[in-house]
Amino acid sequence: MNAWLNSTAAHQDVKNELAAYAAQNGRPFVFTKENRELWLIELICDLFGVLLFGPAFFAAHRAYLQPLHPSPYTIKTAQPTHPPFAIRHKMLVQIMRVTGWDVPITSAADGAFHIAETEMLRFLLDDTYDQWSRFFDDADLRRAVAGVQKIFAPHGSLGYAPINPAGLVKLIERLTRGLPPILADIDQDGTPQLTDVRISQTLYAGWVYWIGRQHLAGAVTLDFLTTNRLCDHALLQQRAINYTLIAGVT
Amino acid sequence: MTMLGRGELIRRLREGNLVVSPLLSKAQIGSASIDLRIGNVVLMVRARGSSHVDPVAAKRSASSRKSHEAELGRQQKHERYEIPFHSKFLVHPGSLALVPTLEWLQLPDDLHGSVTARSTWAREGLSIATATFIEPRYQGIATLELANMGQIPIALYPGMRVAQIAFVRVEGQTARIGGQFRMSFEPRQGRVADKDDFPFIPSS
Repeated sequence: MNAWLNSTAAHQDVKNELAAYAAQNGRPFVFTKENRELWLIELICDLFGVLLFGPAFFAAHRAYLQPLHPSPYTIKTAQPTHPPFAIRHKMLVQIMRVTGWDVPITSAADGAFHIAETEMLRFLLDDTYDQWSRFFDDADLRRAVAGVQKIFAPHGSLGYAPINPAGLVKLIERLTRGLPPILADIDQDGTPQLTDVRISQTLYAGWVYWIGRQHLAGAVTLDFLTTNRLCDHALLQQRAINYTLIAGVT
Repeated sequence: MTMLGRGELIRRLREGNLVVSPLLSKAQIGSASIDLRIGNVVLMVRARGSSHVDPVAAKRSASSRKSHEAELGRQQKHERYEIPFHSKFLVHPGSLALVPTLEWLQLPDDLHGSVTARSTWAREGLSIATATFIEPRYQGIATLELANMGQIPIALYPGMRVAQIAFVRVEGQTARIGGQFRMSFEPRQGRVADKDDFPFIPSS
């Protein structure tokens, strides 16, 4: 780790940070085994997050955390508890690729919905960080993903799985009408047609709407807070839908 | 005035012209109404040291620049609770609870909704007190203002059908400058007095 930190390939911000540490303390910065374990814990948390909540986790990671890291390579020598943002982002991009979640669910036939989804994925997969911040190779991550999915397996639908294209289009379309994104129709005699939509799928639709909203014609234009609240309300309604589906009482 | 029957309700719901969503059982659509379920938030109205509701306070806070304080002042009589499914809350005799519907409503500009208690619950003393009207173009949850007119507390659980909404067709222009609660996600206290009431309310 110390060789990697001090390599010539390291970003200039890191070199400056290490030089400042050495000047201030009269000795070079040493990355300890404990520091490494703390970084791994954070990276494993990110791994669990994205495998549980799918691309929606990554979208929140990028939208909320990136602005907090104006210098994405900083290791914070005084307290290096978290890996630099660039490492975390690059790892999530790699996970999207090894899981196949970097490919849109919708197709060109879905028109504006597909354009919006493509825009959202572009937002996530945009990665201009130095190669130095690539911490794992794809084979490492494939093994890690398989390991975590093995943990999820006994718990049924715990991990993220993409929704079907028609379902996604319907969820986004509801947001364009200012409605909570759920799949709950009725047939001609009034019998409900309810669908179990996972939390991660609802949130995926929410992020597609938010990132791709300029491509979506709709009756309303939602701000971020309202989009968030509609998705939150959908999760609450989904809970009721799922109780009904489990009980089989429609 | 024409009230929408089951067939017309289903037609409009399927077309998306009218939204009452989600409907969880076929029985939820009656012959000329749709049952509404309790959502997961309760605002219990408490006295909490206030002697009475006075529109003078509303007038004063409207003219104050301290909007945050004004907001707090308006909300101090309500205690907010989040009630998970399978958890109950009690409505005691003489008390008032504001709850949202589980359903999200969206009305077109030619329909007006009227909310009332389901008769089964009304017979137990549960009254849906006021705010029975849902205006054309409204979108959001409906607030149910539950009062217990009976002798003993009533336990209620989120998801239960306690109210019903009927729709009538409105004729003529319905455009209006913003209602108070458009795109409401949960109940909140309203304004007891508005600008056009102020000339009739003393300043202190």
